[in-house]
Amino acid sequence: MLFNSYAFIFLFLPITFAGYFILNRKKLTLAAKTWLVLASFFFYGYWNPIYILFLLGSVVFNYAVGSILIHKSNSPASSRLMLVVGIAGNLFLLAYFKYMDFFITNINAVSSLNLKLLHIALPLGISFLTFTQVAYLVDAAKGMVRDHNFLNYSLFATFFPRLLVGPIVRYREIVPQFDAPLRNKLLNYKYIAQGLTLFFLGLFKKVIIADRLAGWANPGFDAAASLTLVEAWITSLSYTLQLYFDFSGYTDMALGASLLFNIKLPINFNSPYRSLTIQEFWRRWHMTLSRFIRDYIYIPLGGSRGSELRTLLNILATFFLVGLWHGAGWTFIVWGLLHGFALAVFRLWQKTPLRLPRFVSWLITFNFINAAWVFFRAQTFSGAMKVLKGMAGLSGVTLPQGFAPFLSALKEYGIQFGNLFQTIPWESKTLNCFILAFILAVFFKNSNQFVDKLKPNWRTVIALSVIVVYAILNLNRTNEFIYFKF
Amino acid sequence: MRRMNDRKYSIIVVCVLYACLFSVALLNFVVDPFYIFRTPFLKVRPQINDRYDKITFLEKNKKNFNSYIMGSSRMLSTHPVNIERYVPGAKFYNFSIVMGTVYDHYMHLNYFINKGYPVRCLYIGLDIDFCFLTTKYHEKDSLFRLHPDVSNESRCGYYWFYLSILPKGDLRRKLKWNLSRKKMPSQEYGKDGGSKPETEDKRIFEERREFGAGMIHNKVGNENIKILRKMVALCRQHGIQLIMIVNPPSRIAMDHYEEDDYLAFLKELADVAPFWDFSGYNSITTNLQNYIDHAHYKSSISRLMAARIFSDKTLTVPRDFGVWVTKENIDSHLESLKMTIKKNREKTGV
Repeated sequence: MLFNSYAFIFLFLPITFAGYFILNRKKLTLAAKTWLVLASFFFYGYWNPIYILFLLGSVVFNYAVGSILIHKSNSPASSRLMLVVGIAGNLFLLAYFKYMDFFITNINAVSSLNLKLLHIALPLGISFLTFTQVAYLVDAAKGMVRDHNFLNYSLFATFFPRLLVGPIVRYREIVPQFDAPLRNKLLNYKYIAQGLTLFFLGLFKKVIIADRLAGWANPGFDAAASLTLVEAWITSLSYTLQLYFDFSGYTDMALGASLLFNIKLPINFNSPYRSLTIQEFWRRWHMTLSRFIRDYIYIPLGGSRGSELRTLLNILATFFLVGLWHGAGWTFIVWGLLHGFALAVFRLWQKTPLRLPRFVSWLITFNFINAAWVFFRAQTFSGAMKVLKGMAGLSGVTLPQGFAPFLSALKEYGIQFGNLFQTIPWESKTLNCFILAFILAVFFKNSNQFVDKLKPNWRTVIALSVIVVYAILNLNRTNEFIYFKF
Repeated sequence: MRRMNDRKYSIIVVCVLYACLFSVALLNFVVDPFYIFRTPFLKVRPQINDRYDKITFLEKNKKNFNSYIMGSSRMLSTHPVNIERYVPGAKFYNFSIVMGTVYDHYMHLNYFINKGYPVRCLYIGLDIDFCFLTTKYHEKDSLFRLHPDVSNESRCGYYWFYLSILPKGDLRRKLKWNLSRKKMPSQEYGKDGGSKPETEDKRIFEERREFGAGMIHNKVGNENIKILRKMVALCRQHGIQLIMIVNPPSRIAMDHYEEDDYLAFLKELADVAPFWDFSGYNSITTNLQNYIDHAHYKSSISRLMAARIFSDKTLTVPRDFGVWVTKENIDSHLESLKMTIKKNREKTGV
């Protein structure tokens, strides 16, 4: 079920909300928790009920492995073995569903086997579910999991606001909230006000901003070969902004929906496009993923404890995996490696006494991120190179016709004058949205900062009502969230 | 500004949310821009979802028909009575739909068969440009969305879709047309599914409607051919007489077809089943008097097409208009088309 659908907003969420608080009010806390688990399974199986079996199987398997791991009588060797079995089980499922065709394609490319692709339907949210459960198993093996029972574990793994696209949470930061005293399970209007505000800000970001920007990003990437300089930049920047508003919009809705149930999820975005360095970017972008890769990949690989060379290799290896996690394709791996390489360069740069002015630092960081997203979005490596070629002006430069009388001398250098929008459709609404998105992303407080300091009054209620109405009126034109396919 | 309590704030937001939903649903129901709810308030209908409309009509009148004309709006000028005279015992319903695609026709035929509608003969017109551009419209395309029984979706979800969308342009147009002092034309069909005789052929070819720059390429590969194969198999399986024709586009439209794609499509089509080809440059398509716009030919032309197909000697059909194409003669037919394309495009400088 999509957060940005009538079914979710007007039926699923109110019914689940009402059921949960009615049961809690009657002091049936166990039943309320069960109700949330059932609702989460329904949420997951809404597209295709067969997915429920997958989810159930995965939950039961991980709970069983986790139960063995936290058993104190285990020897270290048997614990380690169980941990390997548990992690391998999760990774096997992920590899089968997500990477099998990628693997076969690469085998076919280097051999003459010509194996048939399997075209396996990817269960939604499998990448997030895998990371969440792997983190749980590792924490269980380290003795960091307490209050272990099947209901809590099921709710931890399947809690619908974060089930499909995160945030990636840890057992110990969410389960104590499920077990909070009854007084914390009754209606909390402060949280409801904050939750509604965050949810609708997220909906607005997705429906109004991200989907509008897709109107430039999609045709641009579809016709990468014919983009002029300006069009190539508009295409890449539109996608950069679209991705942020799409993903952070989803996360806002997840956090908002969760707050309605008095559950606080960790924030995932903290104005990432304001970052002055690539390291800062990864502290602000998809923060729960960054935390996961730091704690469960980078540090176990050795982190920065070894030699400088080893540290740099660890960074590259980690970001290779980050790229691969995002998608089964070489473009994603290139994107991950580019970020790994940038972080390695930044690490070396920090050791020099050189420092850049803040604006220059921001400009370099932002443009690097923007260029790297091209690989993330393009269907093929050559498609990405075509967009980048366009951005470098190698596919032709066209300036507005109005400049022709003053700059006609530039024609000698191959610069043409004419319509700036030849491949991507010109729309003033998209331009307005593009400018608004850039300003919001770079200069304004983000939605979490806004909601933290929310002081309800008539001004905020009117502003939020306008946002609600505008978003609802545009609800039927929306697309899926970009991160759904990861 | 004075602080509001969280409870009041939350209640107001939720009330606004539901009020918004209710208003949108009410507006869609009252204006009914695609004529789904059959609300009687606004009589003039600039457009209707004819896929829904015709299935709804047939639900009540299926016993009156045993044969169907299918195609896009170009086939609306084909009057059932003009085909019935050549197919004894057949009672045709014109199931032509705006921007109809091969996928739509397949789904409708499938529906008729599954519902047990009698289907003796299928007279289907194909359009090269539609076959090049699309197979299936997006499910959010309100004007072209199939009837829920045809697409096997829930009726509840279907009606909810039309209550919850906000097609600003369509709502505005319907309101404007109904409030206009001028008498505006309403889209409606006769009881045989075709356009009403009093509204047709009054329009004359007024202007060269631009296709936009460039040629029309086949963007969907052989997807439509695959669907046609399934359709032909369905007809064979159920003993349905299939008369397949390629519609005659005007020379203006012909000028924009990418030659290789056009010829390759015909070649593949001949492999699916024999068909009557009225396309290409011929004495009918090069005379714009036969058209009401670049794509829609007049009913007099559909009459000539039927006369050619059923060898009616009482009408004079130009010799170069309509060729019976089979697997055996497709190559010679394509050669002859190539020559006329070359000759005509040289003349017009395309």
